[in-house]
Amino acid sequence: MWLLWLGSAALLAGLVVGFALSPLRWLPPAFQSRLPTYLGLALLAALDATLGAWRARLEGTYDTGVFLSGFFVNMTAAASLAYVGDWLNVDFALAASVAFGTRIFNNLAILRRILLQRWRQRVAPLG
Amino acid sequence: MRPTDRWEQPFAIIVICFTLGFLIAVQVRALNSSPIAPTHRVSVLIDRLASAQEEIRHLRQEVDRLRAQLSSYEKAMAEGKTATERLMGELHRLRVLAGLTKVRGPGIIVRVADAPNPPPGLPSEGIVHDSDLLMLVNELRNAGAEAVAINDQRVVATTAIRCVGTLITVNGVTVSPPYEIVAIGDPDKLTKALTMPGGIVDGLKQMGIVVQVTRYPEVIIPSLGATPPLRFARPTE
Repeated sequence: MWLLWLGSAALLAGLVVGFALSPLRWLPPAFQSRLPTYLGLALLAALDATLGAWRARLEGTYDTGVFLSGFFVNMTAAASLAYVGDWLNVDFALAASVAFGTRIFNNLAILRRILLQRWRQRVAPLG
Repeated sequence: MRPTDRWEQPFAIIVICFTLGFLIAVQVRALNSSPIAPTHRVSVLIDRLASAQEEIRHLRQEVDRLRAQLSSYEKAMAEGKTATERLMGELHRLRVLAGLTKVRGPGIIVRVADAPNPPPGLPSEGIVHDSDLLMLVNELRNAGAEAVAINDQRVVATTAIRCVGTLITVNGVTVSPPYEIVAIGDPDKLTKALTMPGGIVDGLKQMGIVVQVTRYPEVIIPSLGATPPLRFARPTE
């Protein structure tokens, strides 16, 4: 329970710091106008990592190191690939959102199956 | 259990929740702050444009009034004083060239309109551009046109023909299709200069643009709306 409170407090602190620092006027205007795209991809990557961690937890293969590294590396990679894509005139943002979107739906499907199975076992135990 | 395992979980949660919160806050601010400013500025600019146009209208009336006054002075000067007659002749010639007087004479009218069916995939091809009008005016001048106007805007030495967004302005005044270019000069010469094989009319027609050149025994070209003041150029004598 105290972990939940800890997480909420950290989330709140992040929100406060983010609102205090933004809008990030010191960034070049061209970067600023594309910022929502990069951040959106980073958030998508974060969602993917979180769902992946939940799934690993349920499957019993969860590892904090894997989760943490995947969370940050995927997030940074998605945002910077989109940035590089803008330089090369290649829509990496689309590629990343398709890739993460697919993974998120896959993870959701697996989560749904696992949870459904557990619920069934609880309602009508086999044997 | 390793001793670090106890602190692994809270650490992960703190780091991840903080990052998420930060990203969400920055994203929300980035999405909210950017679109508001431009729309606000557009309405301000439209207001300013309207008031500027109103001012231009007033100034045009002022120009007409002053010009009438000037011509009455000239008339008074010309009466009796034969010594100034030669100067007056020169003045009238220069006033025609500078576009200060309405002129009439034989000439042609070139009507140019956007393509009714623009070629697929290339929407900009069937549209009359500022460069097309410039080239037409250039050809007409080369063929000896003495006065030229586009949609009643007199083309003189200081005239700029350029596009502003999707519109074309001549002398800073917006003109819209179909364009009517009136030129005074030898009608046959002017027509041939435009319609020669491989000439500019051919080129425009290939793009689907509708061009029509008509000769007239007399056309009338209006005077310049407002003469820009000379702020930099000075005669050397």
